[in-house]
Amino acid sequence: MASPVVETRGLGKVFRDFWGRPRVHALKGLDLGVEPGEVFGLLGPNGSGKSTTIKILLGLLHPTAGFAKVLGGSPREVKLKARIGYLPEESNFYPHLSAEETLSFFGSIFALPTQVIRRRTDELIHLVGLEGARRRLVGEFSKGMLRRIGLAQALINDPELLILDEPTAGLDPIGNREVKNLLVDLKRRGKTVLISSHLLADIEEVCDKVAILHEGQLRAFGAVDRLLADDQRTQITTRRLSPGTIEAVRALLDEREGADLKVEVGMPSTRLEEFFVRTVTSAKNEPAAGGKAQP
Amino acid sequence: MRAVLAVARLLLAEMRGRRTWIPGVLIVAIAFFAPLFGERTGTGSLRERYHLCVTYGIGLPAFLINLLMITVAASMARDIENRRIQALVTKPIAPWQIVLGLFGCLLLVSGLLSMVIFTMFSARVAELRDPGGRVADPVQLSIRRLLVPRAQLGPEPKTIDPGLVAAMVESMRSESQGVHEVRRAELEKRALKVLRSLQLRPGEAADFVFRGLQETSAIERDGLLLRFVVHSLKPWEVGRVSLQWEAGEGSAEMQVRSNLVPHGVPAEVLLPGSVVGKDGTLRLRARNVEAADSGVTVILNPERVHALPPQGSFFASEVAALWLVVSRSALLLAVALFASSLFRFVTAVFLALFVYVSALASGFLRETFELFQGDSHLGGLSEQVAGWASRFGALALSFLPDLSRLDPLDRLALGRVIGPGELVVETAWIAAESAVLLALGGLTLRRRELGKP
Repeated sequence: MASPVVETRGLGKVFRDFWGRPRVHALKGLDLGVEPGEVFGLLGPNGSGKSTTIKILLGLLHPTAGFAKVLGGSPREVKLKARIGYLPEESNFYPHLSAEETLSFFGSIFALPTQVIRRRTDELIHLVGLEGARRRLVGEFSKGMLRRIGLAQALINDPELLILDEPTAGLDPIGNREVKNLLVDLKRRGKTVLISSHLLADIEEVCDKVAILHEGQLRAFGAVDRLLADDQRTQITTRRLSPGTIEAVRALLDEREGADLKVEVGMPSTRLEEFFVRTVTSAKNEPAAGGKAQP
Repeated sequence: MRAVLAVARLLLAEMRGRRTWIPGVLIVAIAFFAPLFGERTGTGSLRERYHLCVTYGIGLPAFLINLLMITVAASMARDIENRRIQALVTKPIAPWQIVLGLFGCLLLVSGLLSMVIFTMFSARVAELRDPGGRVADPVQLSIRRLLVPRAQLGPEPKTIDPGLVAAMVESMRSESQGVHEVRRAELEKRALKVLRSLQLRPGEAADFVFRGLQETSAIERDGLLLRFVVHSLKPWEVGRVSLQWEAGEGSAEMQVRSNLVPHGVPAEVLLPGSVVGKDGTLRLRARNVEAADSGVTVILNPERVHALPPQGSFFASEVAALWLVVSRSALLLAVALFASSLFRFVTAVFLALFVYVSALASGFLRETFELFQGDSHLGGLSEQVAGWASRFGALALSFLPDLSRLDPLDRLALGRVIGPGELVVETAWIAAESAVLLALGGLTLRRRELGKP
């Protein structure tokens, strides 16, 4: 079995005040393992320790107990960081650089050849949908655009491990969908992704495994399918049935399972996100309406 | 290396975006116009105009450049505060590379601005020239001279008998009692200074020999600047003393009376070049010309008597001064970067400015602290507090950079040479101090938790 890409054992973090007195116990004995090629979700309410965990994994914070290993080494190893991509929670990039310059700058930090930087910059700007703003200063970007450029800079080195802190925060539903599609694509290419989020729908859709944190402690850990599976109920989905057929099915169920069996019959609803994406996509594909819009 | 260059380029782009070039242009404008305003108020002599050029054309702009660079360097603290640095430090770049990239970029900008200012200064000095050679001003003439090495001082240091020190301390104690209370340690220090030095009673004289003053037309035409420090045996009674310098032999002999020199403050006397012998030797006699009944004994420390030959080539002197000005900027940048690796923006700027000012005034502060540590006029609590504060201040000064060792602009203003030896020693000091500060900055950044909420 391949060694885990991310591993923590008994990880603890205590934040202290100016006088050295413990102020916050952000993490308490966290044990985690992320296998290669997995998309791993770190879930939890605000203040549960998600960002602290990520910052320890990136060497931005030092653990006060236990240890963390990333790609088999210490998170503070500089060389190791060449194999990691990171999207910070807050999109604070250099406001006086354009989108293109930002990517070029981060590419230079990775010591990528100039031609590679140019090619990757073009690809990533296209990927995150910032073609129209490639020469605009990052300081003029909206929150959603900042998340996009943040995501692009995290991918500039084609990382083995991608760590995303709240990747969909501030994105519109289309952007949200694009990020999820991107994550699926990365997974298909064998990349390991660690996502921290409190948006459960995002995690559920793309993650293989999740860990749920609360007050710095691990409360649940495992494959999404296994955690969400409800083995007490059965669901059958088919095309719309006539009332007669429904009655016949009910009668059959009463006969086989007993009269006290609770059966719910209804029309499944499309999820709002799915509906929104479908509507906007079809609107985009429609030919432009002639004439001016009437007031 | 590419990462270091990328950080440097990033800072340049940030400076461009933040419009840092506006204060840069203002500084250049100040360097151009400030001496003009000064000229209106002065007497308009060549020497005065030259001094104005140095003070307002270089001194003031160099100070402003340093202030600007300190502020920009401390922006690293702001990047840490607003967590912008997180995206950078999670990339394969070591903290020392970040510090080095910022330092290199700022040093380049500071160097370029300084070069612009020095070029403007050269142009202005060229304007002051009198092509006909009719103006016999030493500063104007010194512009044309060749580089002359600094003179060597003749007298050897003395060995002191400890018994003599003790006897002198007792004598001073009994004499000063009732007039002014002085600590024993301070008296010992003063006794040692006195015994190492030459003591001249009224009418007495001491001889000095300087060798290695090469026979050059520069000395002959521009003269030789003598810089010295005198003390009196009883400073609690006398604040100023009269001293006369007799120089040269035979027909070249002359006398210069430097009347009423305040004790402990460097004094200067310009000797004519003709007093230097053909073999490059200068024989000097210092005579105490206090009234015989005054009983004032003048103390002259041979180690603090310097004969400064005139500046040689103006260009060489200017380049040396420019080199030192930029080196000082480098040191201040290192201070600012170290401070911003440790503190918040405002604290880092304040700390760097504090170090800058204290480094400029280091010599004066050291003397003042020594005075407060030794003397006690009233012996009250406030005196004691002042004494403790001075001890702390003296201790702090020993850790802070010292920019008072050699003032390049003072030399330039006086038209005196900055010797190659001095240049090397000063550069080595500054380089060592800057390297230590930059290494500490990198180390602090590496150890610091940059992801703290």
